[in-house]
Amino acid sequence: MRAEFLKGHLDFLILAALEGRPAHGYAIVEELRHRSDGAFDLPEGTVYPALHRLERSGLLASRWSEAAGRKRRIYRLTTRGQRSLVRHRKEWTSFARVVTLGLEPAK
Amino acid sequence: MSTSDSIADFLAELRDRLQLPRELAERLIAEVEDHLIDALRALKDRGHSEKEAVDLALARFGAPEEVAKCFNEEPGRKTTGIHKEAGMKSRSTEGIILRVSIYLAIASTACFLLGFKAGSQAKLPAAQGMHRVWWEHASKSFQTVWFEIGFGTLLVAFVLAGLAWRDWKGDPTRDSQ
Repeated sequence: MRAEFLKGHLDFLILAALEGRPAHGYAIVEELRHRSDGAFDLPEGTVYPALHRLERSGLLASRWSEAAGRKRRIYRLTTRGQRSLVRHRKEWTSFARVVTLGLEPAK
Repeated sequence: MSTSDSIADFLAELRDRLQLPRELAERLIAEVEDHLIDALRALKDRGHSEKEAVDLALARFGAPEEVAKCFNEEPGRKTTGIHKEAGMKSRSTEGIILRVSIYLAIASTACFLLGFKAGSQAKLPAAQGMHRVWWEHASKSFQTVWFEIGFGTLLVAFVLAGLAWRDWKGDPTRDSQ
């Protein structure tokens, strides 16, 4: 899969990865890889600018958390982020259906 | 070169290339370091040698110049799509709720003032006999009604202000550093 395809939807994928489960950066990357069946092949470093972008937009919130002597930045969906995810999931499902129908070979 | 040297060099190069406020840059470096430690541990658990794990973790993360470029572009990045929409929605929703709660608080103050006025009119010296009794009763009823409306409105104003506060508090830029 072309990296640009994923990059264009990275923000939504991150929101979905955080739905119902706050996580730190590495766990988010692992979740993205798991959800994409290993197809997520963007440089992992690109996830962090996206996380900060989403945070600035108010779709994610983060805080430091300390466990086993390690400080970690934990991200979670905000109410706004959750609403945005639901709305875009609906739009994407409808968009994907239309494109899939449009790409079907002529009968 | 040891594992810690490789990661330290990577982080130093990334730090040098970041053109962000110091506090934010340090936060990002701490996050990246944390990520690399996790990645190293996971790769070693999968059977990679120390050197392989470091090389792979750094390669997967991306070159420092590329990662720094992504970060540096962020603050000046034109807000579009999902972000613009989220920002506009949040401003409008919180703003409307807050405005409504302020109007309701003003309305409740007016109700209390009317209630006090009605109460003070109950003691009008000009009223006499039955007329005075009726006047006092009516004034006290008005006072009670105004006070009830005032309390109700104030309660709704508090609830709405609380909702606006919750939304505002949910804004992550508030605890981002």
